[in-house]
Amino acid sequence: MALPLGCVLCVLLNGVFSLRRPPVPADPVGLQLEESGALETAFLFGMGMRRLASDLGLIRMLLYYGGAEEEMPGEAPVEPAGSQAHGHGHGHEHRHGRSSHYDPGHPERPFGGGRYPRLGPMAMRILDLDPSYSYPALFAAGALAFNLNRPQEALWVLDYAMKRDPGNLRYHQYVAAVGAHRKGTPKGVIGILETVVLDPECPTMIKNMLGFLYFKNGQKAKAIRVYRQILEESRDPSYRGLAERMLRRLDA
Amino acid sequence: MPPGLEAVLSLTAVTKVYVSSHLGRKTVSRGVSDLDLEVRPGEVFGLLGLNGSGKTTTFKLALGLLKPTSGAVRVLGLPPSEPRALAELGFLPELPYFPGFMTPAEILGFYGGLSGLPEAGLRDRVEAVLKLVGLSASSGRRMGEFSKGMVQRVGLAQAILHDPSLVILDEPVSGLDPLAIKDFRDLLQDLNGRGKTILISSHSISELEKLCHRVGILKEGRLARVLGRDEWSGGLEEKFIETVRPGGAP
Amino acid sequence: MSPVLVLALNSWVENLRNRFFALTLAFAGVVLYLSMLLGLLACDQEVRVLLDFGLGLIELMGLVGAVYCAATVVLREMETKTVYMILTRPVDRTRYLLGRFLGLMLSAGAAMLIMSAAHLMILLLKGWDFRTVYLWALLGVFLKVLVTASLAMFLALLATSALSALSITMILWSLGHFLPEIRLMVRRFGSDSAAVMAPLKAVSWVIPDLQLFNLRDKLDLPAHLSSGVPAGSWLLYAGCYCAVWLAMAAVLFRRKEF
Repeated sequence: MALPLGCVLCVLLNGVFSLRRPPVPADPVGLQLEESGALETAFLFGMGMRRLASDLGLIRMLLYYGGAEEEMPGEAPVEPAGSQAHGHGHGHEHRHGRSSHYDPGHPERPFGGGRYPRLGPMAMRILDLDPSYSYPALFAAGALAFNLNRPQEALWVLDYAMKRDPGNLRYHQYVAAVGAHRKGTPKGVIGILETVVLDPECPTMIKNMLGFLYFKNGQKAKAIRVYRQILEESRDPSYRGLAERMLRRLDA
Repeated sequence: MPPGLEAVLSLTAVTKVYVSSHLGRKTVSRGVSDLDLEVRPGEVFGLLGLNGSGKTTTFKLALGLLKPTSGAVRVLGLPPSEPRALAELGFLPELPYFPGFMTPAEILGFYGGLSGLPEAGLRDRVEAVLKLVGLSASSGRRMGEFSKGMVQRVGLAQAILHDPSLVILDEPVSGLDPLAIKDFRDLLQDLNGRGKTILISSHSISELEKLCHRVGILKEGRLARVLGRDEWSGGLEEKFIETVRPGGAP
Repeated sequence: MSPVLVLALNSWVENLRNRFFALTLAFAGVVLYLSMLLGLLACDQEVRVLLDFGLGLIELMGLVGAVYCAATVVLREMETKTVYMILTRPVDRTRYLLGRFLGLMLSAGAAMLIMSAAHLMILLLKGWDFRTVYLWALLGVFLKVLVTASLAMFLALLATSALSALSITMILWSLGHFLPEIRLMVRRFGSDSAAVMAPLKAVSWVIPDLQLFNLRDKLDLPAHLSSGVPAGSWLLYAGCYCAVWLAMAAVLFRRKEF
């Protein structure tokens, strides 16, 4: 008698409280299990840890992007990762055999040469898990647009993010920055990035990008300020190392 | 205790039937059948019987842990589940368990609180009872360090802490060495001397001979025989065997 | 002192001195350290990973301790006959259960406070700006633990097996987090496959809606925060849910014969 009675009381209780709850969204995208990590995702969801699932997704994405670049078909493999930089080598100057500087004057030149084809999908997957988590999308969009010179993919990621979190103005800023990069207007990119880096959630990669643009444009003082900020605030040892080297180069 | 009360504990035509079902199959067994038992004020009443004869069932019925299928159980004229009846009952189960990390003082403080003893006098009462059972010197030691005999004394202490009229003891000397048994017997005699009514079960016939005023012998759930001290002067053991042997007293 | 408080304090002392409690806290410390290592991999997002991992760990450890206690305390006392010495005193059986549950609440709350103090210390050292939403998230976790523990206590008395109670409770805890998905599934497929969906629909109405309290998993949702934490709803829901299953546990326990 106790079990059925308890169940009936719970039905009443849940019924009363469901009236006060906002309706289930028409198209929740939370639990779409992907091929790899399906069990882990389902397990974490079952423990009410969607945010942690998205955090692990971010770590995977950072490890992926910081790992050895995938070979491009028909091209010689690039130098292995980590030969001069630690941790995440986000397609920077010491990382690859070719010139890895982003050159806004020649946006058509491939940056670094690596593909990382799953970078965009990985960021989108994280947005499925936690639509309000903007960092992975901003990171991936920045890497795709400015490091890997695939602005269209960056825009796909940002579009995906904006559909899930339309009130987040950061995505609109990044779209503008990617647009300026496509047009080949470095000053335009700088102007937008100067606003973007004020956001506490701004990836260090973007700050580093801005510092480099200042450097290329001869704005030494501004470059020094940015690299000093990276040195003080960033938790990424590879970017801090890079900032140190740039500051030495700038004689700061 | 109400004046003129004839029995501290009475079981009148009590039957307890156990029904258990497993995968649709029911098993029925009788704990006690038509049991008539009275424990008079101020006496020590012993309950003897073979394993499965209904001793523990009888105790549990007296304590309200079991409800009779038929018949009536009364403690001081009240149903045993009544708080007033429970306040007059003290119980020591067979092989009591106390957490090893607690001290006797803490244990008695806990049970004293549950018995509703006022906080103001609880400490003094605990000390007095520990002295009575001979554990004053060990009141601050952890139970994990105690011997079996000492654990039984703590068990007895919690049973008498709230000064009950009736103390029920289930196999209190089980597993004790002869010296501990003697000490325990002396304690019980002392308690009885202070006016406590005691209902005790034991497999040790010699102990009951020394302690009890009357002994009841249970056989297959029925009270086969009740003997007064003068009736077993020839030897309680013989009377017991005679009663419980197949074909003996019904 | 009321018997409920006497029992609660006794449970509290017992849990405090219990090796299981100490081991839980020690294990939590180890895992908190591991979360710091994981946080290093997240670089810019180290603090977020620490925050999420830590709160998740606090919930898991608090839950394991509370559910284990809820599922075993009464059964253990029945096995050791301690319950005889308690119930042969003027202690109402319902009060006995309430006292044990209250003791469990105190112990779980204390364990969670200790773990969250350590967690907060690490977060603040890593430069996190304290937000009161953390405390609300912690309250949500505590209420989840209580709701789940009340279920465990009932199931232990129903099944008379601690292992069965623990297993079923953990399954229900997990299902309680899947409620939005379950409701969506029922809505989407309910009309086409009504017979198949019926049991799922029935279960969805009975299991606790743990996502209601799961602020830990929605710390940055602006909509969720701007409308304020529904603490009143939380407390009412948790209180009612616990009351239902503790009452049912009392029904079982009152009828129990020893």
